[in-house]
Amino acid sequence: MSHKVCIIRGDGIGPEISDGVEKIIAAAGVDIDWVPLEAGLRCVEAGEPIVPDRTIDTIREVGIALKAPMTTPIGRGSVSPNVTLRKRLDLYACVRPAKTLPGVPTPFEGLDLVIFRENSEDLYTQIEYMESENVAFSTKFISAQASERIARSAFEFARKNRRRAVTCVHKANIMKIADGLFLRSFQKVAAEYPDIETWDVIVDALCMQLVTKWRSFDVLVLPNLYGDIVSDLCAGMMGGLGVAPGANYGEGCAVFEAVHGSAPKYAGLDKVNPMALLFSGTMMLRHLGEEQAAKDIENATERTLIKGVKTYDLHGSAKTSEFAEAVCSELKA
Amino acid sequence: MLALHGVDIYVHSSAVPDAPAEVGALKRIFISDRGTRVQNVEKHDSSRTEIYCVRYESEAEISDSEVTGLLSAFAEMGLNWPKVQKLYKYENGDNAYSQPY
Repeated sequence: MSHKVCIIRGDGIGPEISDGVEKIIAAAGVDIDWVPLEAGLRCVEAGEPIVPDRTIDTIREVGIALKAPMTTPIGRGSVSPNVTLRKRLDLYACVRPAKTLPGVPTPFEGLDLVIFRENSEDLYTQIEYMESENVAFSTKFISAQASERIARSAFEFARKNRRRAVTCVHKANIMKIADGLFLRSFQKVAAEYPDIETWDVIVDALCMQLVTKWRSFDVLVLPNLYGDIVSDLCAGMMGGLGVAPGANYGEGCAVFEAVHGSAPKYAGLDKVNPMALLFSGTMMLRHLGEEQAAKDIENATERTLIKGVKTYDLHGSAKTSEFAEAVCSELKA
Repeated sequence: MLALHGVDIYVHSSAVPDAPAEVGALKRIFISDRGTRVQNVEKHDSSRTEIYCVRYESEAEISDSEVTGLLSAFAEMGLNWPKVQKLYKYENGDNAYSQPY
């Protein structure tokens, strides 16, 4: 069965890693009709919005996209293409699995957790004002509606994937109103899932506990800012941003993305690790119902790593294309 | 020195509020929800909260009396506004406030 999927190949190292991932997915026997779309720096340079309306409309219509990294131009008035996609398509749940992999050295053996970051509000509404010459206000916007929505996503995921516990991460001891609402919303939803253990933890305590007793955690639910920070912490714990996948889910569509940047200085060098986008691709395959292909790719990637075929970030010497070819060979073996 | 050029009025409403297009020198620029435009947007996927932001700006510098005049108009229309935020420009004319998506 053929699947129609939008693809944004991005800029910087984006096109190189996309090429490898597309070949691996094809080698796994999944027939995808890729719909190429533009967004990012190239659009800005062509005088268009950083995410053109036709890109938004097509993703909305198709319902699914795989997105390689894009560069956010630096400077006043520049907007992030990633945030634009999340806002325009209401991709409210940012899901970031963090799991140690064979062949990827890390002190955090046995790490296996999934982060649910609320994606639509908190300080990321980017509502800011200068109140005087020397004082700026930034608005932390928390609603019960969005907080309950992300909590429910996490509990549904936990139930479907037989996860043991869901933990709410907050700072309600200090931000008693905003984070207090997030926590109360979580507790309200948690009551609907008595089969799943629930905890709450203050975000600073969580950071300490993550690096001392990481096996205690399973599924985490966080407001936007804490989720942004903790998900990168966990990416580092699993071996770096080069291996950390991510997905953004909304009601009507989902966008799967590598969470690292476009690394323009490595563009065209055939050097960077495509695993983050590849594992985002396996999340996408599961979303499409291609569970076996996703497992096959993950197993083939693990065998490739165990054989020592790794890119420079994992202290290997394989080029992007060589790593992709090695995974394809494992799939065909 | 910052110069007053507008105001964001946050409105508690179950739907996009029917806020006045213009009051005195202040013209309505957009209505947003959580930093994303929701008015005059052909397709918008964003779920809504119950707090909308209505932005008004003036070409020329304004005074507090124009802000209170706008609030009076809101009160007369029965619009419930839990929060008001003044909008300033820097001396070079740049906005000292963020823009919505």
